[in-house]
Amino acid sequence: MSAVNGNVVEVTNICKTFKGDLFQKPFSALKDISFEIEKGESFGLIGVNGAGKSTTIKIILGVIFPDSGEVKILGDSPGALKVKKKISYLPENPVFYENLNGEDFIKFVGRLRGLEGKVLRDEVERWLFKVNLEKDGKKPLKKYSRGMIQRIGLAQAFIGNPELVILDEPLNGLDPLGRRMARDLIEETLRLGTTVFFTSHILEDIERICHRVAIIHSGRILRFVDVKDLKEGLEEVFIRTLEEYEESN
Amino acid sequence: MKRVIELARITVKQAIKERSFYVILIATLLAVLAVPVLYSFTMFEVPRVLAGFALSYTNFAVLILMLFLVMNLSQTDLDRKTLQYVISLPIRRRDYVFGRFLGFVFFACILIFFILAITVPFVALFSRMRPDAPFYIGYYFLYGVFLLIEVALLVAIALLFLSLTSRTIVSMFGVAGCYIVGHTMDEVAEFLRTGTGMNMPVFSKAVIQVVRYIFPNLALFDVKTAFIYGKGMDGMSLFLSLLYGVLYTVIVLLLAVVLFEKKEVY
Repeated sequence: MSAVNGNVVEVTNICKTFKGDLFQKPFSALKDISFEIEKGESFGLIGVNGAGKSTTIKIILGVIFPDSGEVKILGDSPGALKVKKKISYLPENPVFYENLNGEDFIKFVGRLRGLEGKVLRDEVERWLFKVNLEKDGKKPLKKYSRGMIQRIGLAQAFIGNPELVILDEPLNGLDPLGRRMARDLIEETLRLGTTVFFTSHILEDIERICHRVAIIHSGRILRFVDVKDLKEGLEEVFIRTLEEYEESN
Repeated sequence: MKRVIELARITVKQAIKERSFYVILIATLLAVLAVPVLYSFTMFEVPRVLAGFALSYTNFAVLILMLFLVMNLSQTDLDRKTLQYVISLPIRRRDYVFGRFLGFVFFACILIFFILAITVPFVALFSRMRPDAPFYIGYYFLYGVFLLIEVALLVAIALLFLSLTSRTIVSMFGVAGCYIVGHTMDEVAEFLRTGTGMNMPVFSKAVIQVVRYIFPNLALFDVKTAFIYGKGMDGMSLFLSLLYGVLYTVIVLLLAVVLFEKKEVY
């Protein structure tokens, strides 16, 4: 583990403003966000639409860059190849290469994560089986239903045993059985010591899976919650936190 | 390099599964059926008419399909946010640009080979029936190489636009604009040497000169007329044209990489 202080993710005072188009005002998406995620921790980021969850994830992935502040992933800059080899990402409403079939797609990701030969073939088979797509592996992704895309997305996120798994709304589009399967997979990966960074609108799932939660609103983190210390439901805490924020502003 | 090859391989797989690829292959078979028809209508210059038809068709089919594929696959990556996901995978950003480029160019190789492999034997067969002009297979090979260089340059330009803008429409017009300017600037330069051209305002002439040096001169790669009509094209000018194409492509590709490294992918 190359992380400093045992933290897999260190986000320090990041700000991000989107300039917008010609006649649009700049939009401040993140305002001085800081948090850390420890190795083996399951950390949830919750907030309403437009709160800044996806922007935070994109900065952590190195897809966009902060205006100020610093991000360290496993002790290095986001976007560095050695970091990318150890992390995986499931986007919200993912659109993968639709011309490929499920098996080819998982193989492509597996190869990029360094798997080869028999190990790659076995891992592809294993993960297709785990997400109940073993019979649909030869089907092109464009013929997959929303739930199937989400399941293949989970398989690509877990193949190759990444150290940090970033899941943006991973339970979207899944039926109750699919949600249960996804929760089981996340819990299994946590038992193996993987760190999970998770966003979801479904607070019940967050409460079940996450060790710690940050409530984000209007680009600011309003509160950190230790799930084991909760004396009431996460939903009540979340709503009260937002109401207190709105009253004070 | 492994990651670049992986991305190139996925690009070829995507391109082969595009419906438009099969449309072009079917259109090629239909075009071949037109060869006997052309033959029956043509009294003189049969080999030239047939060669002109085969090469013009190949040019049209390859450029149309490649531009469609490059714009479609690259811009879909942007529009549907697949690019965000892909660059989060264990690849460097430059691997994406080089991988896509190599994949498209390799696919163009396959495409040119297939189309020429289907059309040229027919042209050869019908040309031999009227041996009033010789048939040189080497011309077709050279033509394929020059077409490939033009495609490679246009793919590099498309990737440059992908790095510059997130708007598909801007990229499409940008690439189309480069193609049109690239094929017409020689004629514009010729016009400047005429009496009317000489009388143009100095500013306009300066702008045309600047455009001439910035945009690629794609007319250099259009060797089909010279081949068909046996116009003088010596080995050195062919070599210099190839060198120009390769160098221009490398420069555009490197520029695309530099810009893509800094691009925020929304």
